[in-house]
Amino acid sequence: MAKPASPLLLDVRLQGPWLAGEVVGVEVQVASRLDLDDVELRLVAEDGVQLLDGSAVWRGALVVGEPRVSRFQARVPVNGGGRLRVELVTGHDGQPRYLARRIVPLPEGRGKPGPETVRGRWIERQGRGVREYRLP
Amino acid sequence: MNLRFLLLLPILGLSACIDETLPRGDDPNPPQSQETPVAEGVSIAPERERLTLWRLDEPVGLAVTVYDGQGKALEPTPELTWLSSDESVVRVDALGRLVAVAEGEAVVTVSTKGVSRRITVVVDTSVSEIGGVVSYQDRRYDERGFLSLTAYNPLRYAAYDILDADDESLVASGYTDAQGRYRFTGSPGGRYRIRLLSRSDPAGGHEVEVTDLAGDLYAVSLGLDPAAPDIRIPLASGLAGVFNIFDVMLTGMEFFAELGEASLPDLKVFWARGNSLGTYYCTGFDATNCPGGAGVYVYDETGYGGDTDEFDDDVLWHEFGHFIVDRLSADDSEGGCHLLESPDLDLRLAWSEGWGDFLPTAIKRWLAADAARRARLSQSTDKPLTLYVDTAGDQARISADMNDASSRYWYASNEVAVARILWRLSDAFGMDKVWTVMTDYFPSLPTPTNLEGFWDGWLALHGAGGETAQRGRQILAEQHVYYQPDGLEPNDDQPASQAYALDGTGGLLHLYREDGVVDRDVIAFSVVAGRRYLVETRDLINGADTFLRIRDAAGVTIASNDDVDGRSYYRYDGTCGEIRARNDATSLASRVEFTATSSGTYQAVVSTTPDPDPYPEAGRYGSYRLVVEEQ
Repeated sequence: MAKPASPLLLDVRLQGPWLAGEVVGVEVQVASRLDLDDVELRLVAEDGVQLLDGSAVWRGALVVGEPRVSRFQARVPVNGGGRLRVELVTGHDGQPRYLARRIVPLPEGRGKPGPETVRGRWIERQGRGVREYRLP
Repeated sequence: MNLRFLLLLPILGLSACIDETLPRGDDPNPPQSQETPVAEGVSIAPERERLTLWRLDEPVGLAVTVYDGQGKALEPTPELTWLSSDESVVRVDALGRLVAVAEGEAVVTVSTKGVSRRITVVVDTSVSEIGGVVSYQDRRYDERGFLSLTAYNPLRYAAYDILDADDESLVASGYTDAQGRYRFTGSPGGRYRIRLLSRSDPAGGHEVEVTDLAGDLYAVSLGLDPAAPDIRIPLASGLAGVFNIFDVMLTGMEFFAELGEASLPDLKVFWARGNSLGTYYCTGFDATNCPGGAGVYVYDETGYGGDTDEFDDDVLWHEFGHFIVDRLSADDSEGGCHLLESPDLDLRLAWSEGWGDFLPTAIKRWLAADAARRARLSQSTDKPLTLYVDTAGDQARISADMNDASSRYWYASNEVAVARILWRLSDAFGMDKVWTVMTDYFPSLPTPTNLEGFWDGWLALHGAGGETAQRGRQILAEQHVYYQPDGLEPNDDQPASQAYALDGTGGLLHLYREDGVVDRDVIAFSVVAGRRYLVETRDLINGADTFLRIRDAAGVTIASNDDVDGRSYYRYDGTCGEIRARNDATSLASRVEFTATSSGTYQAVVSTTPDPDPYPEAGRYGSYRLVVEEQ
């Protein structure tokens, strides 16, 4: 009994390591579970990343069972870091809007349990375990 | 050997302290004989350093439990002896209760069977009631995603502890009220912390709690300044989302309480940063997907895809909808992948998810209808309350209007069609009429829970001949759901007098009778001896599962078919990665080919499948077209 699924499928793969100052290939595969006639793919270079070739924007149709692959090259900042935000979006006014979004490379700390700003401590209260976060 | 007491402090506003157990040498009463249970140790709950009495002449009871060597409480409790070191400060009455006499400090000793406990008691009347409002920062959204706008919502009915800031001893416990207020008796100059927990006041008869996947509650602890006692939990804390989940679920409970549900079930919600399991409702334990047992699981993929749901009220109420029907109504859905636009879902899945899509709209309408509640709406109020928004990052990942009558959302096998039907029915006749069917009819429904069953209940409970039925049929028909006789009725036994185009342009025929009898459509067509004919049901919608028989001119059945050979109802859905039933136009259609042995009028008789074990994914009703072609 899950929440409704998005028809948009987006997969982003780096063709090599994300190393400071180096050029890295980026392969983006998009697909849809519905026939969609107006889809936009956007690559947004952030925090010093430079897109070397390939258009940062693609618009077109997606047909069920016909994935589309796009390849790009990006230069990682000389000091390292930076990221690419890849978004696949569809939907005009009055129509359902769908978005698929990926960030590469993964931000530090992804998947770390608990809130990002503070570390919790485990305590027992009235026989129940409690994960307590102390705020300033 | 040690003697153990358990001291329970039932009065709010107390802090207590237990000193070391007296050494055995101080024992005024030597041990009893072997036949008498021997006290072994002392403990106190909650443990603390000092007990402060705030009010004079107000007895405060201490529950004492004495344990034997195995940690078992002695029953009955042995006779206790109480002694105050300064009865001008605190005395002990005949019932063993502490009574503050004047400001000061004294040591109270309780002893029995050769062991004692000492409590340092402080009488401090220079205290007053301290209280404030707790709120958490909530994110506002519209159809495009989160707005820059946020608001602080009161944190209602949440458990809290007041702690001494110096030694973290417990000063008071309680639950915030309907306005998010907390209060305790303390010193205006005192130093305190407040610990707010993701667990609700059980006084309402049910509990809501938000835990991590291991079942541990969340708590946020903040410094409390009695001079500025209002408490805010900001987004930056990373915990405001926990309390939004908590409040959204409580709001769902309130919604159903107002519908007359006097006894609501407890709800557990599981959320953790980085939880990649997904957002869904589990009816029970499953080691892979439901490690905490039954409850709502909330997705958090902060990094890669940015899909987090702790502020997605529509998503949370969608899952709350699954929870509430699981516990108070009935739901046969086996789950599975579903898109809002899927036109051919298992009718049970379409119903279950359609209910989940509808419920947020109903709760938002209820919130918006009342000025006091409206502030808790996270959705922009200048947008339709029928919006369903699921965010990723700051943008809408899915945004759709549940009040969309367009063709992308037609049929009983589409979840948004179900949602819109429920929205329109509840809008026209009240939510209570919808919910009554869910609670009074569905649990005893012998057929699968789907829109058909709901409609049967709607007519059974609200009448088949009045406005609720007539208007209801119109509302269903707006989504191309036809639980009504077609234009050829009655034609269960003999063909209707009206003509029906057999070339595929004839109108939709509906397998439906309000009296519950299986509908049959008898349609006549002319044949010429020696020629070959194909008779077929086509354009099936609303889960129709047809059965076709051909009668010759003498009324003898010469051929029949349930499902066309070679067609598969269960097929792999590559986009969802699973095998699922398809209530599409052809999968459960029927087809007969025959050569006429005589010229004259033959009859096609179409009914729903007579299979004694029909597909639970399909319908008992449904619509189709009949086509006859000469080969």
